[in-house]
Amino acid sequence: MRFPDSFAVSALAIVTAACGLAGMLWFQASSARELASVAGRRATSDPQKTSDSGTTSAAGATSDSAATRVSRATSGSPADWADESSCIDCHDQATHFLQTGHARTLSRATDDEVLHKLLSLNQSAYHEKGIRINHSGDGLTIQRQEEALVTSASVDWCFGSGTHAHTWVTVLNDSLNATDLLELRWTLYASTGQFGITPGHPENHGITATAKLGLLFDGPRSRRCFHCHASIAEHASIAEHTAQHGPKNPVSGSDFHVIQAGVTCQRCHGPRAAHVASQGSIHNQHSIAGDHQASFLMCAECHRRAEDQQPQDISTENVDIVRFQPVGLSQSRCFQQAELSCISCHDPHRPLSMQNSLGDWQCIQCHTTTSSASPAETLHHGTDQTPAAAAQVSSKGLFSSCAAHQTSDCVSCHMPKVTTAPGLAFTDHWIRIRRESEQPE
Amino acid sequence: MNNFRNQLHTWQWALLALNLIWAKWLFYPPETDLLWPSSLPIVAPPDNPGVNNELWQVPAAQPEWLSAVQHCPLFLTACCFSIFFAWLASRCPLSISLPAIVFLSAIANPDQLTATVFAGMVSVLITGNEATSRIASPVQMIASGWLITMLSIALSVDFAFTLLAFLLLLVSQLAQTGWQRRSTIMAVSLLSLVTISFWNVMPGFAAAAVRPVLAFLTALQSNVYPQLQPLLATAVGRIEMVVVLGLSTGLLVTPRRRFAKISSLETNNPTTQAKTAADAKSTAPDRVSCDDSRAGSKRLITALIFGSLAIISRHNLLPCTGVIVCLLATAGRKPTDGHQATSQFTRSWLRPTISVGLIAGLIISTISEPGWSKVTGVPRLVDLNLSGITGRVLLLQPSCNQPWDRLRRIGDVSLMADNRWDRPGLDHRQYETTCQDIMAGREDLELRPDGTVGGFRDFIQQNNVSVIAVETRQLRTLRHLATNPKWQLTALDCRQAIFETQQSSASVTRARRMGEMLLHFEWPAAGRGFNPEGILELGDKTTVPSVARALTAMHMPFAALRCVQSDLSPASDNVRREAYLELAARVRDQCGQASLADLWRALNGLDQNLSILNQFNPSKSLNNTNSQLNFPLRSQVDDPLPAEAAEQAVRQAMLTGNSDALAEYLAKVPSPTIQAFYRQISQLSLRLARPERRALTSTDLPLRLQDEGHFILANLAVESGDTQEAIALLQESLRLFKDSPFGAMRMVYLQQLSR
Repeated sequence: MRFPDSFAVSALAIVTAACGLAGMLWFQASSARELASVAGRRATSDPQKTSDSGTTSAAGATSDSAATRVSRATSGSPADWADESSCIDCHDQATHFLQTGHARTLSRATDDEVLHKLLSLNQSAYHEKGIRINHSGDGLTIQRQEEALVTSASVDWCFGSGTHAHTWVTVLNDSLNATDLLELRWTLYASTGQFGITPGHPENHGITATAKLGLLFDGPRSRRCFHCHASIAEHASIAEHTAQHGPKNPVSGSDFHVIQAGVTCQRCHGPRAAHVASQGSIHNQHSIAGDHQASFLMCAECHRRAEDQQPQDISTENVDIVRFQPVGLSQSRCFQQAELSCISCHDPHRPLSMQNSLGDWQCIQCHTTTSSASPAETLHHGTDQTPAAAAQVSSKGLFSSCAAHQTSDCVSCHMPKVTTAPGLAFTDHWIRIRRESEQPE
Repeated sequence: MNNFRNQLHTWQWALLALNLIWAKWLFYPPETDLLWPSSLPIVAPPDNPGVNNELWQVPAAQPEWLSAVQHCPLFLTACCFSIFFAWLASRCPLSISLPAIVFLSAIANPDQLTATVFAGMVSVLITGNEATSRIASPVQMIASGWLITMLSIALSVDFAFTLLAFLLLLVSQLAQTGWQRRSTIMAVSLLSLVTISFWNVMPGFAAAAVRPVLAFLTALQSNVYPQLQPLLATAVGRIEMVVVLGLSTGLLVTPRRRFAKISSLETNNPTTQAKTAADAKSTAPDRVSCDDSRAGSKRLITALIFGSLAIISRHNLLPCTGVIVCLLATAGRKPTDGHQATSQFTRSWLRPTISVGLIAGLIISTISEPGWSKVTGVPRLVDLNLSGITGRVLLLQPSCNQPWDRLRRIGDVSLMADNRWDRPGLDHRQYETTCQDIMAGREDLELRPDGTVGGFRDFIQQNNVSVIAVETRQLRTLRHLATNPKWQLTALDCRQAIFETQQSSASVTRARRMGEMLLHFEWPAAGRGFNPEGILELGDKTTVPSVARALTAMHMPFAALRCVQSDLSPASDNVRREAYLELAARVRDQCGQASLADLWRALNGLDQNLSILNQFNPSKSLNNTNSQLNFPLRSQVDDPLPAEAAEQAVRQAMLTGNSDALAEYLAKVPSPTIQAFYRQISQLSLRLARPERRALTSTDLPLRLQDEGHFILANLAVESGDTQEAIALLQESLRLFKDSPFGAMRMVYLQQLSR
């Protein structure tokens, strides 16, 4: 067949033009989105924008659009996740990481470390009538007897590292096979070493089987619990896994992707299968890079953002918000006007006992009278200052700005521990000059 | 075959096409058009007139006085389609017309009727005089094409296909006239002027003009538009792609055969031989060859362009296939004189059109309105115009925007996204992420499967969304939203459930009305009457199961059972099983008990029924993985009398729905009273006779079984709507069995029934 060139060329030109136009529109739309994203990122990373008038902005301090969300993982595919134990082969940080509260924030109820603690409820000074823990070949159960009626539930998971408390749960599925959780009424508090009622539970239990033992959480709420206490690569039914493998069997092998107990390396650094397989040559810098806003938001995902709190609850009068450290920190001038973030004081790779997070070395990097530089600049240039060197500066008595004429131990006044419930005390991260009336007991 | 083809008149083709279209719409409604209304817009409705100035608005949709004729009843749409397809089929060779008409009927999407017909009309002009019944000049061709294109732009949002066909027509006519300088300059100048005018004066015109390509790009960005997926993405799509390629190939082969046939006929006919000889003198051989070749290249290029568009996006499939079949139907035909054309038109079109119209009218006039919905497969839906819903609406299935069109026209609601993917400023990927967050119940900060962190709350707040429309079949989404205190159900029918935030007193009133009605549905109390208008529509027995499943998902199993009480269809049977499973979950959570009667009825015979259910509707069948509850929670009377091993085996068989094991072990139970108890449970029906009831509550039974028997009977009474009977049974149970594990449930039941 002979083609008249003119027609063919013209027709193809039309198609090319149409495709080009479409591509142009698409590119423009993408560019607009990218610009919006960059603008949003700038807005959140610019301290001036968050404190223009010097007032506290609950939403502004940590506002982040979806575009500026911290994205750690490039893919949620189970195949992208490496065996956590492989990290220790190359990274020193992984040596101590397993001792951190993050790594131990979720464990199976039958794990030795937490099993004996739960069994101690049987001999505990705290005694609620008819409560008993049974551990036998049939599994771990908790039972409550009221007159002739005995209600029991298996105990599957233990939430909390024990730094503050341990709370146990039972996994159920609903009729659509979603995972529900029964949060048990009894929590072991570290500060007292005693059992008490789980925070948020009513003083008196209800009449239904679940209410006698605790509070029943539906699927989305249950998943939120696991979201913060586990590194979940895939939102699969936990009940389904428990039903298949039993609570005693650790999640491993092909099920590794379903749930990884505790906040582990890849929870923050993203799936690392390719990194491990390539022996480190594939390195996704994006997963660990970020400004102080980004690292702050990463912690705030679980420790709570200011936006997740009702505005009226963000008040110095409300002691309950000290549980949510990022909420308080976001209200602090150290965060708003400088670049203080969670990792300025805390090393997430080491347990609290192995780091000097309560020392003054962080404070004096900005609060000195010898430096003419701005606090932000001082902090920026002072990040290499070691705690020991900073302590030397501190010992020279450079805290002339302290109205109370204190030369050390800043946190005891500006970040005291506050008791929110019997047995529960948290460091208040709303760094401020506290009034006499709000001094902690 | 030719005889058979000759025997098929146009009206028979039309009826065949009509039947095929009805069959397709009845038995296999398009997945993406779940909200199928009784009428369809032949003119795309305006998108919140006066609000969105950057989106192309179809001109004919603007005047209010035209709104009455902008919708076309579904049956009329089907008739129009059938006539159009019949016209195509009657002109194709039988080997192509049958597959073509079946294929077109299978992909018939009423939304695209206007676009398809207009694009087809222009495309037949591309091949020039061979395609028309009259000999026309290039200027006439271009003028006709231009007129049709303008009509298409005025009426349809998918005018891009017509525009593309017109551009091809223009180029082909210019090429045919040898690119004469004057006419080329005039045509290009005119076209440029008009295009620039449209481009600049009409906002959104450019984006609308490239909708077919944007459809492909949007599908790459987001999965919220399943109708935009490339054909290669699905198994059915791959089959469709093969058909499109086959039709395109036919377009290249058929006209050659047709030319050859016409030539041989003319050679054998003595009367035409002289004329042919005379023509031959005036027509150089190379000119004939050149025309043939040119026509072939036109068809090739057109098939290439429209075939490619069809393959890259399912949205383009119908208009592009329509164009290809139009070319197939007309390519290689010889022009006829005016008189012959008129008589042919009268014989072929006028009569069949009137016939089909009369038949359709007769059918419509003899069927009452409720029956009509059964014939057409169009379910009765909640009339949103009566609901009074206002605000920003987020559709989890954005292409199902038709029920909202009227509310949108009067400005009461605005849709975050709809089938206008050419809308500027909408981030499809973010919209999809939000929809997935809603479906998964991720409201606040949560780790998503893709590794990002977020939830739907931020998007909802930033965009001031106050209404979420969920498909009724999305059960988990319904459960998440129904248990979310920030969202209240305010309307429900077989296709969608509407949730609203409590932003206005009107929405609070709607939510309260709906709540009271559903509460009454679940726990019937005497003397209460409700008006479901504008908030609840059960429809007929084909649609009730969908509503009932939604009720079960929203933790209202008794209401679901009441909906399907007298229906014995497989779909209703499936609904009952799901409701019993939900009841069993309720009993487990409230009492710590495995509900024997509920689990038996949910699971017994499930395996056998699964294959049957899957045949009818795979998406609606209960599958094995969802059919088991775990029982980590137990509640029992301390030191109960130990049950016999055989009785324990009977109970286990009932809990797992195993009828063979039940029959085996029931015979081994030594006590006839206990045997009768379990046999009765395995044969439960809503209306139990006195002896059957006695078998469940006999004083000869152990206390634990008497207690269980009372509870089962009370459940049956609630299920059948006998409130007084249920209350009496529960009170008697309360008196007789103080330490019953069912105590908590009894209290809940009594509170609800006595309210």
